Amino acid sequence: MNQSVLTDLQALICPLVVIVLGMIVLLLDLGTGDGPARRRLIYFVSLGGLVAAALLAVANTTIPNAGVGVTPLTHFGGGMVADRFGGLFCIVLCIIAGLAITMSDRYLEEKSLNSGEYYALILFSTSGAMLMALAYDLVNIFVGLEILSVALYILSGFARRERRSEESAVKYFLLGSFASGFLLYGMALIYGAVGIALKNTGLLQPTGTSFTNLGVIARTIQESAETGGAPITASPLFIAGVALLIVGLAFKAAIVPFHSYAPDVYEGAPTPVTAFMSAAAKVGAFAALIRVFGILLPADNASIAQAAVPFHAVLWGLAAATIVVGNVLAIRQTNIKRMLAYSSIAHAGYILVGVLASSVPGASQNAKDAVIYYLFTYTFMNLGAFAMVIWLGRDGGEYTSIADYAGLAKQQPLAAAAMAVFMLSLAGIPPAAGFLAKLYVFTSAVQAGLTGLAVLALVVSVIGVYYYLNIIVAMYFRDPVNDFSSVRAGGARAAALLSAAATLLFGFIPAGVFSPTIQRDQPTAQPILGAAEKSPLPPAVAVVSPQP
Amino acid sequence: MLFLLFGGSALVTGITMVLFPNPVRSALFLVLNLFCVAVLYLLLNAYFLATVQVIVYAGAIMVLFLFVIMLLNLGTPDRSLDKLRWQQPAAVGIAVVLAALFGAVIYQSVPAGPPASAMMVEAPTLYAPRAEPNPMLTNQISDPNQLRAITPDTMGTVTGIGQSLYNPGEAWLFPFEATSILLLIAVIGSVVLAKRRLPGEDASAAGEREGGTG
Amino acid sequence: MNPVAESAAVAAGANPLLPVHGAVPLSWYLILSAMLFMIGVVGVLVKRNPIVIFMSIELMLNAVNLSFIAFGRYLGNVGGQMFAIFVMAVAAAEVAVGLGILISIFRSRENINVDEINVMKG
Repeated sequence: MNQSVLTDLQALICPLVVIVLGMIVLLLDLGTGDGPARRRLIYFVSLGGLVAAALLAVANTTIPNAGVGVTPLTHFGGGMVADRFGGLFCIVLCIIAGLAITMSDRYLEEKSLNSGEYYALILFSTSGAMLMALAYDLVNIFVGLEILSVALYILSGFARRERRSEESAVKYFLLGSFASGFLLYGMALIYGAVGIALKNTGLLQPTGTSFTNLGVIARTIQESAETGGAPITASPLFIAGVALLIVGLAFKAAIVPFHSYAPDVYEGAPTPVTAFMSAAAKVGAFAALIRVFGILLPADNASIAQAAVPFHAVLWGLAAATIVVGNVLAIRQTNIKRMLAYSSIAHAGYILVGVLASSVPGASQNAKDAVIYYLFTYTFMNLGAFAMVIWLGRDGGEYTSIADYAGLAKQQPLAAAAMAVFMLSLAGIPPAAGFLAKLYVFTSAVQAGLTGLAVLALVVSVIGVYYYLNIIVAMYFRDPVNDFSSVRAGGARAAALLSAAATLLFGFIPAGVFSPTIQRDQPTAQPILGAAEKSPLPPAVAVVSPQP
Repeated sequence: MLFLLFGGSALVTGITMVLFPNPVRSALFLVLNLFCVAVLYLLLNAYFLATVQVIVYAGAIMVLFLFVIMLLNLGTPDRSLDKLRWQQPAAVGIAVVLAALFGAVIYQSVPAGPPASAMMVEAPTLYAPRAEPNPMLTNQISDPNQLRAITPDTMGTVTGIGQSLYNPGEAWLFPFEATSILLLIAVIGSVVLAKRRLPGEDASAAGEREGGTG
Repeated sequence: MNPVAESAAVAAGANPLLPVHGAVPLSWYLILSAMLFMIGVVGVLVKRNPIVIFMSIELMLNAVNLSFIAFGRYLGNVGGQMFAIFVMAVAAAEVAVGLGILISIFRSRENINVDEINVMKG
């Protein structure tokens, strides 16, 4: 028994290290002297710990993914699972937290915010998202989600002296807990539906069985289909439950029509917090979405798949609406934080395309890899763009208007170049990693038979190129309006340059971080890639669409 | 009978909570509502949760609500309802439709009649004389599986809850531990957010700010 | 028989004071829970005082708990009550943080209306 607890703890080492790190940071904040030395100590301890946590998570990436037909090695009474999928998400989350902390140092000093609590909250929030990625029981998804969100509510109101920050916290908090209510009601209905189905099949379970365990749910779905009766996925209770669950998670991922909070909250929150939450909340929500979809809406059995059809249609619509709304509304934004908020909504739409593809059996593995690859590159380019905003600010403020960045290239050529890399990557223009990420996601969508959605997403993303290039045009071809000779720099510069380097590196080395799987599972990807890299974005449709 | 009485009052107090413009009255009706629901928990054999509902929800959380309403002097009526006349019927209409939808869904998919038959089969084990000494009392529990079996009727007691919650073989221990992190975050958060003056903020700046914002 | 089990046995159905509890169908509890949930939703949509909105959210969570416990009771499964415990713990944490946020925003201003929380537009 002791042995099993040890294995359980070992499997979840990454979130545990991050949690303990958060506590250490809190203690250091209390126990060490005042002043810049303490700030620096906490800063480097947090970063070092995150690197260690990311390295520890690498061990998990060799464990095969849990899914339909694969009985995963679960931990803590079946509630948690440590597989390759979860391990990769943990690594992404460590990177997000690391970049967010790196870019916060000068910002916190200038605003005289207390760094100990800030870093601890970022670390706790990260651990919540990790728990969501590793959860194999709805109860753990829920607790992880709340750890993630409650910490984010506090962080978005962290700059208490600013009205905007306070307002952003109130909005995020009220809408966030409203969405949690729907999520919970969905879980209650799923719990009931699964329980009733188990009772109807005559298999009396011990009182301690968790009906919200994803493994139990998967088995129930299989059995209810095999015993001849209507599968549980056709039960109205179950359908209502899944629909409410989707509402709750879609809110966290800022998917249209549950996105309305995002621009306000992103604009009002302190910039490093905006950077953190635009990535971490999405990563957590998408991890849970992929995990839950794979189990609740499996498509490998004809009678079960029938019931999943309406949900696929709904998700198709959500993804399309998210991409269109995000891109179209981003065009008319003048505030760079709001523009990035809408852009992140659009990116959530692209990721949702991959999530949708991941629920189709043939394309599942590729789509999962594509989503994770997308999240990796999204992390670097999005956090990098926010890091630029912090880098170029000074005296406790930032230039938030897009017009403020006019003529940046003449004064800060390095900064302008980094910003250009991020914008090109966000737009999905070839040399940068964003292009490959989109290519992988859309390829997997075509494999999954979602050609229409892939084409729509490509066409709309071309429209989206406009507002990203707008910033590049302002930086390189307009006359300066602001003096950028003395900027904040510091950790934000390090974070931005690191992200830019990673964005370019992923773009030039096609298969990026996890080449083995992409190449093994996707033998057809290589020729497409070669052809598409030579051509600009729109012709890629022509190359991709003839695929089966 | 008891269900109709307390279920009905739960509905009435819920509706009045939304209808009253005064936040203090809303809060008091919510307390009443929580009490009614606690009685329903009792009817469902969830003894521990009924207690927790009264002590934590009605006792601690709602007191906190009332305290904040009084502290911030928010006891004034919410006049803004007048401005939103057109929104109200819309919201109520949508809610009624949704409630009807959920009712239909539930009515359709939940087995009718008293579904406690499984419990009726298992219940006799409760009353059967227990030959062996209860391991709970003999202080010799080495393996959690040897604990007294929990039946559906006793699972709501403190013993039943405890045996499931702290059993490493079941799924609940981990989220229980994870919740502690959540509570730690809540402590940090309330300290950070409600503190009057932040450290590192020098006295003059703080004075200016407080003077400025009144 | 130990005292806990004994008291539980007395309360659990043998109790003449609660003769009807087994007769109430599950769907009644669930419909009541759905109605309470919808009242909460209406409250969130209609009210403009953030504290009352927050109280309506508490009502929603409470309705969810009722669903969980009713399901758990009728299915003979402890999971419903476990879930309800976590919902309560999470609600307590949310209340602490939420009221902290509300205090910090309302200490500096007079208005208490979510329609007027609109420095940002777009």
